[in-house]
Amino acid sequence: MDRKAFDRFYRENIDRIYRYVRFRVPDEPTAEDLVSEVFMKALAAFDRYDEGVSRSAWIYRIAHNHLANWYRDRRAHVDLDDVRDVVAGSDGRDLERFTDDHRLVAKALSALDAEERRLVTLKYLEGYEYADMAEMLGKSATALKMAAHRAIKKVRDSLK
Amino acid sequence: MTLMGLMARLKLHRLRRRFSPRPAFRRSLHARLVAEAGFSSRLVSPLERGTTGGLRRVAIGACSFALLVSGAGAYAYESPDVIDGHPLYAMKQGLETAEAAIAKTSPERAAAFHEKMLERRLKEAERIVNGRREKLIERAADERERYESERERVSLPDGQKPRLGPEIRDLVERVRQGEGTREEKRHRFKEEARKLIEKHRGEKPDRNDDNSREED
Repeated sequence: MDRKAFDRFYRENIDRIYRYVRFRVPDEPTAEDLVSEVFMKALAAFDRYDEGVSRSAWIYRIAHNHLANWYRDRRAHVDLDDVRDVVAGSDGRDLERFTDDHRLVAKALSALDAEERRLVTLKYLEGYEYADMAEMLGKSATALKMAAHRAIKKVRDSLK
Repeated sequence: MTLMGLMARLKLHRLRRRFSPRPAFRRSLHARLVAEAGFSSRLVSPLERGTTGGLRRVAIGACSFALLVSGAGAYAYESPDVIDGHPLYAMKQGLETAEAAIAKTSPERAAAFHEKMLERRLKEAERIVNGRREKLIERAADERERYESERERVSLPDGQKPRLGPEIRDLVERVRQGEGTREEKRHRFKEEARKLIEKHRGEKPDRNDDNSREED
């Protein structure tokens, strides 16, 4: 395993994967535990990672599946792609507490439809580049930029 | 882009920053991953470091020890009652950062430093409740791993005066000799540290209820 390649991979993905998880769990210790587990899984499978084929989608998928398992273990049904759905609460989350920051995020996204929420979350909250998002969502970067621009116009009113 | 659009992006950017990982977590996870992968950690001798960096560390250390001799500094540094939220906590953290910089000059000093920080975090964790205690246990687990990592690089002399309290020493030893991956050992250490703290809290009256905040 190439140490430099792994270090680069870690530097490029740690913050975004952390935010991906942090937005979807109620507290920091839980997020840190889950992110640690995600990266341990990525490390174990790193020999199969090909930067030329997949920049961020690979570990994003690992994180998504790991988080889905975590929610399933808590018998909670959430749409992980929709942060507002995670925070708004349904069965299984009466025992969890989300922060005011989470509620602020949900409020910011309230004016958007599900697809727009995912776009704004990936780009502005989790910090992905359009190239990465194009790979993850299967759309062109240009189309995503235009859609994000329209979505931001809606968000500004809900953040006043 | 309109001004309103810019403001919306700025607010989202601020939210994003609030959900970013702690630098200490970022570093400690990387160190754990490196250890798990079996990558050799590159040993950097003091001679290899830039002189500017070395002199700066000595200067920080010298200034911090000057602070230490003042009464407030000494109290902040040593007292487990100075925890997150206490007026002197920032001073305590600053002194620890300075000492960490000096400790990096040799593996022996680094091992001794992390040993001391491990004990300190657990004592602080005894003082407070719930969410913040979990953070301190997490930091104690980080210190334990750094201590183990530095200790592997040096042979500590026989009869070196142990710094850790006996129960913490036993806990560290049990985890070290136990089976399992690094992650499993870390998890086990955290669980046992919680039990140890609960045991102590059960035995002593809580002196700090008015200083601590309940998480829930």
